[in-house]
Amino acid sequence: MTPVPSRLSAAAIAAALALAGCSGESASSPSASPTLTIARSPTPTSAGPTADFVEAPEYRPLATTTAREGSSYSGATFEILRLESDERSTLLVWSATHPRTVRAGSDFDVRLWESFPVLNTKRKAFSVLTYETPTGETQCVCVDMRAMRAEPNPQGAMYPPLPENVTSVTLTSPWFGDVTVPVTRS
Amino acid sequence: MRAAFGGVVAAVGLALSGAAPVPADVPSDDVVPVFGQAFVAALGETEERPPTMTVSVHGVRRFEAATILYYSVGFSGEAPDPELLPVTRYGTGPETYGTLQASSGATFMDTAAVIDVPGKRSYAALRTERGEAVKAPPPVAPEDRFRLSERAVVQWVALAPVPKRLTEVDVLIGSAFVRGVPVGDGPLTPEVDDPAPTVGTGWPTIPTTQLVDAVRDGTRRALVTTVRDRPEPQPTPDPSATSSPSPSPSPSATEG
Repeated sequence: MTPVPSRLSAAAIAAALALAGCSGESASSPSASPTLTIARSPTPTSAGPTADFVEAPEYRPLATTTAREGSSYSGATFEILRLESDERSTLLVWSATHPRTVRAGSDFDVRLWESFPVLNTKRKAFSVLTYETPTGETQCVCVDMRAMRAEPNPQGAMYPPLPENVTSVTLTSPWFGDVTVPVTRS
Repeated sequence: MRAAFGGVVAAVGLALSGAAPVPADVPSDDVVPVFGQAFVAALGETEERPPTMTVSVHGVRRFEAATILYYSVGFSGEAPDPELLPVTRYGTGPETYGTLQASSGATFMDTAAVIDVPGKRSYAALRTERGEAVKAPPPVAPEDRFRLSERAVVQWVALAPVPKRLTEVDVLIGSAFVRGVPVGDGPLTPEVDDPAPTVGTGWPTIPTTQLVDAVRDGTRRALVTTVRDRPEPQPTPDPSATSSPSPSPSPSATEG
């Protein structure tokens, strides 16, 4: 059986183009290597069969910011790894790392959805998608990471689609300092 | 496909030669779709970093009584000892709340879901009578350590049925989202008897009676979007008057 290139390849190329400067003119210091992203996509011509199924794309930070003092993440560094949007949805992926292993601070809670990063354009603020649990709690459509440590451990959250003409957004959250990130169109 | 990727086909055969033999009735040139991949980490109890697991999404398929998510798990190096760190503890593990999940299990299979943002619905794992996700038996036996080292094995989890109109979804598996996965119909073929076959040797047979008998209440969630208007931007203050304390203070977002 052979792997087939999926739309991920196209997405990777789109991401690479975006990172190369085709959008997001106001983004803060994206340091990604476009060729790396393409090379790590699961195309049958770029890697052997083992790598196709046990390797995955590695995302270099689009932007970096530091945790706010007073939050449970105090002392942590946030790396914004992915911000992808199309006409259906938006995905934000970030990683919080900390010199020490820190577990379950009060901000590590999917019920506190309003603390999750908000995607700000000039005129609109897009919050993470939410849903109501059978017990009446509101939780976010997100990955719930109950600890952080020195090594990156990406977590993500889903948002509504961003308007087509948005090329970058500013992320705001009680967790970290505001940071502007380019939007990758997939 | 065969001509273009012939070298890869040969390499697949070599890769499998050290593992379980490929059954003779399994074609070697079938396509393995990969719609997205992600590294999924585990937080071990010690300071030593456990190896990162790779999750690949191979398909979302519509069955009569469920939606089947086919995916695989594997390690680029040596897999951890399943008795110390089973793959079921990767991703959203026992220390986490599961988002979207309807089952009481705490493995990343239990928290799997497909998400239809335009339709504002999510579809979580169906449950057994014991409250666990209806899913493939996870590769957690001692001998699975070899099967997971430098290779991946196919898994599946049964999710709530998606409507016929739905052609594309986003997937949550482990601690990773994979966007834009097309929804197909029926099982991936060829199906084999191995409940967790090595990727490339066929697809596990889905027990359809188990799907029919599954508990499905609470597996569909209504999603809520929150989009607010921002206040009109204020005039920019004289930059020489103050300095900003924020590391990236300027909300210079472009239109929207």
